[in-house]
Amino acid sequence: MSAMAKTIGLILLMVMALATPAAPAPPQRVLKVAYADDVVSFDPDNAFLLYGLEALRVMYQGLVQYEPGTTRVTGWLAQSWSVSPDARTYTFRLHDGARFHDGSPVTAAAVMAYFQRRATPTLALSYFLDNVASMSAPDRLTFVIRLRSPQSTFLDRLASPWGPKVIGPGALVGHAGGDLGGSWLNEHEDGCGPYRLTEFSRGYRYVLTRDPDYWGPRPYFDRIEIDIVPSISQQMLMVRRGDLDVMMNGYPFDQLAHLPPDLRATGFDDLGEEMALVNPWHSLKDRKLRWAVLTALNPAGWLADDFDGYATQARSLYPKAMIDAPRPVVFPGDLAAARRIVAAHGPVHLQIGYGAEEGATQQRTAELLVSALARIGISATVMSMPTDQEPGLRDFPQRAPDLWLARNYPDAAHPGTQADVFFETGAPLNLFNYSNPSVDRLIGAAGQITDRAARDRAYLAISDALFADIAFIPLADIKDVIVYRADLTDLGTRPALPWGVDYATIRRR
Amino acid sequence: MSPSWPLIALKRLANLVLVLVAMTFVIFVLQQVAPGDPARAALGFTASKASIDAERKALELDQPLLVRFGHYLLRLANGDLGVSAHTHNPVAADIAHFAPASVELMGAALALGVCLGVAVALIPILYPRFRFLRWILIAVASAPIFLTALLLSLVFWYWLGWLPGGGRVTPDVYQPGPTHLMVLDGLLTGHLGLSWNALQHLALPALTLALPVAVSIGRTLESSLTVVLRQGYIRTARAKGLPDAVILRRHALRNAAGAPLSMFGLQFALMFTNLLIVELIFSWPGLGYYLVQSFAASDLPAVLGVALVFAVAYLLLTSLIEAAQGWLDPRLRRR
Repeated sequence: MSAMAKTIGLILLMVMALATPAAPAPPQRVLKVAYADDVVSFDPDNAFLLYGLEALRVMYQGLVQYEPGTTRVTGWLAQSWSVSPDARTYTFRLHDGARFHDGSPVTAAAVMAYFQRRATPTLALSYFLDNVASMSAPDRLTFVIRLRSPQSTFLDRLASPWGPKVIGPGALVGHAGGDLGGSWLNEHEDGCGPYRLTEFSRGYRYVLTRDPDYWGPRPYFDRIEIDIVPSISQQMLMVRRGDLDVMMNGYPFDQLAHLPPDLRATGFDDLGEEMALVNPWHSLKDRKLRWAVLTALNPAGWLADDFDGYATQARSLYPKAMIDAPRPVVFPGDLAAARRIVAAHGPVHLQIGYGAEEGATQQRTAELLVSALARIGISATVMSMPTDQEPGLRDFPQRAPDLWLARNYPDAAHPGTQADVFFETGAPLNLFNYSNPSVDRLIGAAGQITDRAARDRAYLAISDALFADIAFIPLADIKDVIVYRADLTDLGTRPALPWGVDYATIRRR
Repeated sequence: MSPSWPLIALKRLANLVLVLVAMTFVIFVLQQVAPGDPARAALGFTASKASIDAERKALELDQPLLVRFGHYLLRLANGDLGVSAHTHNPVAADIAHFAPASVELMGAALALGVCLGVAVALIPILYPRFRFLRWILIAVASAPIFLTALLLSLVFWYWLGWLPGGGRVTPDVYQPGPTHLMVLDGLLTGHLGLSWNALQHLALPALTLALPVAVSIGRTLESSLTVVLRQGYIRTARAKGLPDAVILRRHALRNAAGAPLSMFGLQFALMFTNLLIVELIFSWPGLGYYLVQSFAASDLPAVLGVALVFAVAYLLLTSLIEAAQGWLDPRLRRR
């Protein structure tokens, strides 16, 4: 045998020695999931999470929450509550027996100490409580919040996945540091939920371990192992190979019909509606041209071709899970008239933009819109921008894309939170500075209505006004799709919990 | 007379500092003029005006550019890289957390790349019958790096199940060690299982990163060797009856090493780019992953911090390569 053959043989032996058989099956009571991105911080008051929300809500608990599968508010740490006739005083009666992970009891005084922290203006999510005038704890289990003015969104803000989640005194006092415990809470927790955060390795993995002293029903899984797997294709291979139990998001729609028999997919409506924001400061200054664009973008013309049944045409500017409008918006249907307007106007070229973070879905939608616009003689190109640059579009609308595709999530399931963020003059994601005083007045009036049916009618009137102005175009309700192992059940998905299952209810059959 | 070594070292150090300051300034300015609001990026779009204003002040975004840059340099001189707007941790701490994974991966990839590169160069000379192996290697390395990564992952992890497809180590095997380099820690603490497991995890990402290095170094070395082997002193050695392997080892390789060494430096710089892709695909928690995440979040302190680390590593390696070239060819020392 030549020296070269010996060398090759040696290399092959080394490769075979490195090689191992497939990894053994995971233990029965461990749930393996993955995030494509790191969790910025597990501090419930200082980070706007998408990845990590479902983990946060089993470490911490708030006063109220949304029921699984609905947008109905139900008790959580609060077993009951009442609202005063002037709609300014909320009185919560806490469950007796709940304990923080530091061992101390959940009392009204502890809840109040936490709410005071949450209201600190330097914390990112403090604005959830910006209408709170005062708080008190008249007895061990009664917590009272007094508002400055009636606020119909208040209870929804408390139930929001980004809403207040009570932190124990072990963190607030024991690890306060100089930043209200912020540094410690980035990578640790002191909640009262069914799981404790027992490992935080930034960029690599997090482990949640069941709290044996949890005050409520015992969850099925002993451990939740969350790996950071940035590549969606790698996540797909992992879930197909059995290395992951649940793939929270990103599985391509067109491959969902070809899942192996040991995998299932479920879609649910969340609060992120696909819409197009129209920039009136540049190529679409002319209202007639905007009307032509609106005609071309009618989702009925392109939505059926895509998303493999996981999307339906939007019925209003609110996601279906928030308000299921009885009368859907009606797009103009005269394509010939739209073509004539474009022909009379001369060559029109539009730019369609979207935030890079939502890349996979938006790229697909944007390409469909390019084809739709071509039908009336408008050419269009697509661009993506880093998501954090979106609010900056307001500073230079003349140079911004003509249409901006967005699937942003409002703070809660109340339509007021959608209007506050997108539609009102000066709202943070009103990217093209849309301003209509009559719409602002309608938003102000709707915010005072407490009856749900009347409230929804008022907000739908706002949607109609915005649609008539061709400022915001509702396109589609695209479902959140979760791919999971077939032996799992009771996923506990909620419209207000994007990309998430409920670790407290999910179990193996 | 050639200058003394301390003087050369001092000049190199001064150059290094100047280059670093210039590079820091360029990246700093680019990040500042890019659209986007780091304060909003840190707090979210719907954060209150008070918290956004407080964050802006904390990030000194209300100060003129040059003032900010001056403050940054002052803090840098004290080893303070600032606080990450994304992770809310000191950037130095984040870098210390993520760097060992990248060091381990790049170290393994460079070692593997050099070994494979030498093989690419020598196989056609020593074993012409196995020339096809070289072409296979070149073909695999010619694919875009993300494709190579996916292909290797698909074959050796997903289909064959021979090697892990991501991560640094199986969590159950992990033992904390002094260096945070898993292979080394396993050896130092006597947990050979950890070293073995870490080597298995290293195999695919290191091979992916090593292939372009191997082909570049191999082809450069092969060209240099072809020229060197035609030189008179090689003919003389052959005439004296020395075997080819000895001629290669004693006379040819040293004289042909200059160009491959330069190529090694270039490939090291390119490896930083490939590192971003490979770390993402193989879920490798290193600086490449951290940089991508920071860039997407307009996290200026983190981006600058990692860029500085990469720049220092590159400049140090370049200096080492120049020293090695001088050692190999004394004529270069006089330049």
